[in-house]
Amino acid sequence: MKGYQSLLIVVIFLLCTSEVKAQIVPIGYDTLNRSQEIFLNAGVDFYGTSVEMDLISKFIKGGEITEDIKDNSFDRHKAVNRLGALAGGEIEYRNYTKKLFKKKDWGFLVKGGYHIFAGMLYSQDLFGLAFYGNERYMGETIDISGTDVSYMAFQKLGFGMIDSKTKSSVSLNVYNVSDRFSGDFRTVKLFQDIGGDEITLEMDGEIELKNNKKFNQGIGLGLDLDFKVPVAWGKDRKAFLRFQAQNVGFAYMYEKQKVYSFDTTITFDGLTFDEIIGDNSLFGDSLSLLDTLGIRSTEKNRTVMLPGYLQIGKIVDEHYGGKLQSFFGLRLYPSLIYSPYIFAGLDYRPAKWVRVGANAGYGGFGKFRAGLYTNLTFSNYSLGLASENVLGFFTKKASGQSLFIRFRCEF
Amino acid sequence: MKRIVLFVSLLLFVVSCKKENTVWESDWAAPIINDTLSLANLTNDSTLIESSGFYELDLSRTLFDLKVADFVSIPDTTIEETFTFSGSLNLTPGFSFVNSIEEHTINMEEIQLKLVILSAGYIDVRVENPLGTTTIFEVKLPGVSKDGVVFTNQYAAPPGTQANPGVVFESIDLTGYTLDLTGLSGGEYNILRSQITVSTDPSGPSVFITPADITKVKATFRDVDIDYARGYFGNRVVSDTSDVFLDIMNKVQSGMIDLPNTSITFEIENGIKVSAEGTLTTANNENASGNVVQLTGGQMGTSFNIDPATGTWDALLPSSKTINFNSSNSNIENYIENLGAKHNLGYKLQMNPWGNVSGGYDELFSNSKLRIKMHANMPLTIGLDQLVLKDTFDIKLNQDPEKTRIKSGELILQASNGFPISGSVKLMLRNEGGVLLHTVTGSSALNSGLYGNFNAEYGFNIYDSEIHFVLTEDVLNDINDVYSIVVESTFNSVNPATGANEQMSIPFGAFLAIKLKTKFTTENQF
Repeated sequence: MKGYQSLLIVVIFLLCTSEVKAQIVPIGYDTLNRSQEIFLNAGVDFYGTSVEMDLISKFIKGGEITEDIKDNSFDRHKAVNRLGALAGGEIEYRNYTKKLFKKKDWGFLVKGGYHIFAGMLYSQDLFGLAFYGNERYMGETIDISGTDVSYMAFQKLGFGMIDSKTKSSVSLNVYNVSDRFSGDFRTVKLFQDIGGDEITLEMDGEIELKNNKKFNQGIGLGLDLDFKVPVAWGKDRKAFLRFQAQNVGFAYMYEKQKVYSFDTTITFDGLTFDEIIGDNSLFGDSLSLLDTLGIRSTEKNRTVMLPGYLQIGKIVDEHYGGKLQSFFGLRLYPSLIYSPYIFAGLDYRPAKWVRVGANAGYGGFGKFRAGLYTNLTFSNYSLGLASENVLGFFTKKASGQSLFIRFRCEF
Repeated sequence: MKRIVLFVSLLLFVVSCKKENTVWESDWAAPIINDTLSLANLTNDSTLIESSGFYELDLSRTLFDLKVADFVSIPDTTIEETFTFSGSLNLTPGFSFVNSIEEHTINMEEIQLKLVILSAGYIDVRVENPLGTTTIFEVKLPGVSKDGVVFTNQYAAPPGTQANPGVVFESIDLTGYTLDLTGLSGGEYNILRSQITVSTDPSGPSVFITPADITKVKATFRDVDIDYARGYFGNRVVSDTSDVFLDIMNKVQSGMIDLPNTSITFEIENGIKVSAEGTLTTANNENASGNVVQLTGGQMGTSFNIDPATGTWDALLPSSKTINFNSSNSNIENYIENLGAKHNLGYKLQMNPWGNVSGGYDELFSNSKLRIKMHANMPLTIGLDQLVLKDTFDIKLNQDPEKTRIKSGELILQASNGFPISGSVKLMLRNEGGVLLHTVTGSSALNSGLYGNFNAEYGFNIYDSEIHFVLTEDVLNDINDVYSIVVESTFNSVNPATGANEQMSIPFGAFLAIKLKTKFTTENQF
């Protein structure tokens, strides 16, 4: 119950303060002429290839991670694993009555949002080291090479134009990057002999993180694009393909980022007495642990790519006369952590004011996922509730949870 | 408004459910110490030597090293001569008046020096001229010479007045000068001689001198070091005591150490050509328990004669006097086995105890020294019987029970011991008030190498031990209250054949190889 409450906290917070947009939940494509529209989207989605929900839930609601819980997730790990989360919310206002550039179909839109992208590509050994410690690896090599970690929290404010007929839009956004962390462990291997007498650490990689607690770490510029293109679908029908880009752009970190880089091999078999208590004791005033480990530390301004995404797919047509429609698509993030995500689903409209649907997807931070959604329309209001990972609500064997809420008001 | 109330109510409901910490345990292992201790770590010279495959103690130390200046030194001495006339007189240019040779006594107390060669020193000469013409001073020091040339210097003092005389000052290096201190008669001692000649400038004007015009010459011998001295050096007494601290002995708490027949020889080396009488006045030590043992027997407290050195400066042959303390003539074993941390040693030396029997022909050279040396040579065979060493380390650890912490663990000591000594270790954890909280005892003893297998590479037996010190949850739960750790080690030298603690020889090259590792469980909290 606490897990759902935690999710609810996030969603309510996001709804109240800003942000996200349900990414998969089919947006009913409404081509009717409207004067103004307001959208509120918020959601959170976390999942992975290998970590089970019973372990993730401990990080949400707390409690002891037992050996069984660790074992269950550990056994599901392969050589390469993914774990990630997307969270955020957006509010968007569309006005079709003001004609931009004196074009009769061009309205404008303004939007604001808050987004978090967190992802990790890692090995089974990293999970084992974190949750079991190094003792179980005596006589073995702990290999966490290839681990890639990325995290960014950013806010955006955008202004753009929208075609009142096709509802295609483009907006130019300014971003504030409030937090960022990245880690690239090209080679990290920990060799331990069977007796635990010697440890050899081979490291080659880099870590970047913010160097102060300022909320404004960097400024960025990016685009949101949303184009709907009608295509022939069957004999007498047409469908709409949607080409979408969200938060595609770059940010300049004008606050210097702390960069730790390391390319070294360290062998440690214990300290000598001189190193502990002698004149050249390692614990003297001049000790620099980073220097001792061969880790270089610098501060740099960075230009980084925003964690935006591209998506293409068939969407649901609000004005289709039948009750059943299909939708499908492909989403890409410019990150190795997020593999290409394909999804497909069916939308069923039992009554004019209600739609329900189911979808399935594969990729992203995880593997196969199944979702459900519903969308209710009352007069000028509509409310959508969706999960792209519905199993996460019912079984601890699932690999994550997601919940999205979408509110639309037209007038 | 209803919506706002509903929303706030819902929010409060949700956030009122406080999240627990996420907790899991993980097990870690790491090496901590890897080092080898041997007697080579404890010595920096040839104190320990090999004898038939075992260590032997060959200890030589200089306890006192007395130099020339400790016996004979010349104090800073000033010679001052003045010239006046009883009546007024007109002095023509080139007028000269000569003083007779004057004698000046150096205050040397009972020392009677006849001849001295200086290795360093200065003479500061200052002349004052109150006359209205340039005056030439010739300073001659008969008996002060270098390479056969008597010290003679001239100084031209500018014209002056009684109130503001013309002054010349010069400082001359006396290194290498010979001082004949026998006076005009040649049979005196501590006598410096001087002769001053004063002339008016031959090309200057005539001047009028009155009884108030005082012409002065002042010569000061200072910072004089002696390279060679001859005479009678007196019968002064030189004595001293000094404390020697062996702090490591303070860690001995109880038990016994048993040493083999031990002898220590004190050697008094006299590089001065003077006879002397010496006494070792005291030798005692105090151990950590406050027990004091006085070295008795032998010639402790008994005076002994020291012959003068022989030969000349380039072939000086010091005399030597040895005093031996052994098990049969003293309590030297008890003295050493007391394991004193503080040693108090004293001596007394008197030169010429029978007066000036050399006829004033005592001699010392720049390389003349009087040393007291200690020499010990014995097999390094040690018997330990429940010898307890205790040391206390202040420590302050802080584990927040609400954060990631070490929950339990153990220290693992792996040791390869080549010494014929066994030991056991326990750790006592004390709180701020010194109250014992926990005692962590090793799972087994560190066994003597004699119980191990013969190692052909090293040529002696080595025993491999693995000792576990278990840090239970109870111990670690109290770790925040620990302010000091007392490490108590108990040592024995057991003879495997008899099972009794006996004196055991230490194999040459014996070592104690130590690997200290740790295994611990962390309770991680997030």
